[in-house]
Amino acid sequence: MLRLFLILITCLSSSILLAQNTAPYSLRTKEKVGYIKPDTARDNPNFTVCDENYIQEYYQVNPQYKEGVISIKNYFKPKLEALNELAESDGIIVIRFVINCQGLTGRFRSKYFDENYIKKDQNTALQNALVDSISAMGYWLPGKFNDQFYDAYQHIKFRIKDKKIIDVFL
Amino acid sequence: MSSYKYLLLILISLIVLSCSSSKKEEIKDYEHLRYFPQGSTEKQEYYKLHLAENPSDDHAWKQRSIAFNKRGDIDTGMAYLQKAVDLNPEGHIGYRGYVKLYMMHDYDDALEDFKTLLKISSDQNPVAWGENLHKLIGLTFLLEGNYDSALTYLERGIKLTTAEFGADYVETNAFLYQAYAQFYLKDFESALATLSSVLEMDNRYPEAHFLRAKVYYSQGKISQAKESIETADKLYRKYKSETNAYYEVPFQLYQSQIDDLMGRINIIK
Repeated sequence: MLRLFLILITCLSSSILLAQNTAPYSLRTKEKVGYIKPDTARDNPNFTVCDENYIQEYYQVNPQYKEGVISIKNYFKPKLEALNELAESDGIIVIRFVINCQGLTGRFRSKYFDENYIKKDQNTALQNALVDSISAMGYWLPGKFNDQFYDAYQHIKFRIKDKKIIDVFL
Repeated sequence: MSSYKYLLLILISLIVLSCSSSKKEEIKDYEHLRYFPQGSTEKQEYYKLHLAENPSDDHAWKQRSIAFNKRGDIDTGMAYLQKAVDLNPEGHIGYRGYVKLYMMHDYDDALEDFKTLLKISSDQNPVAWGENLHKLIGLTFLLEGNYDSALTYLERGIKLTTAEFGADYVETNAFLYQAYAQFYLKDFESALATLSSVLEMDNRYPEAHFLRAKVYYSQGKISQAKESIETADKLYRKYKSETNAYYEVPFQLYQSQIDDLMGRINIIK
């Protein structure tokens, strides 16, 4: 009877698994939307992540710069005048980067989009200056979930209007 | 022994139910990719294959856009979202306005989307991604500095929602935004009245106490300002401010703002 019970349990498990199309337990999280491939030519060689295969998104583990967005805005406020000298055209610049589980930042990648959200090769000098500014911001509170620290992707956006940065936000 | 028999009966029933199906559906060989997480390579592959066969699935286009917009690939994200809007404007233009408002700070374009939805919606008091549309339009005007228009739409949203569902269904931040518009227009008494009504509904609202402190401070009513800022401080330390994982909430409150206003109030004796 016990043997029959165990056989039935095995058959039932197989049929349930087939019916539900269960996803595999091991996911390739490294390459995904927004993946930043390490580039030895331009990345800081001293920057490392804690787990290359498991870099989370900012909205999953909430890394934070000091008090939050207000601290980021305050950091950039005194720099805006100089940065605005480099603005060529209106739109939005997005700087995406990695904050590792120790709060250090690296792997900066920038993109400029015009007012119709089309990616363009403009504002290069401004993008470079923004990357330099962000990399000089210092430590972030690393992403955390269930008392564990994680590497996380983060981005900062800059809205440009009339060739001036009018907004710094996430 | 008898408990084994019952268990056997249950197991046999479950096996029969799991194997049988009154409706045989064709399962695509990529269907399993659907269950991978948002933003994964596999999930994007699912959308690519599914939309190749079902290009008019507006919901799938919208879903495909989400990871890109969240992660800063906004050219790709907005292009996919455009397809959803083209296929079903009433279904998705409100969501696009929401993305433009909160995630892109593109207030002019957000207003355009919201106003289009207002025009084409069959609902007199529509919502966009779960938020009252009139409130969203009012908030967008508020963030643009157009306080009169902000008030018009915020008040309309509050009035329509109250008439349809009752005052309890009005989002509390609608009142906060209304009070901010009144404050910026220097209509301090109206701002205080609005804040009083929202604090009657929810007294544990540090953002409202903070704004009340600002209003009193602007009026030179220092003792009331002090009381309000101390309440804001106490509540913020206990409950924090409203936040969102994807973007900074408009008029989000920070400890440093409380400390700064408290310092200015306490300087005046």
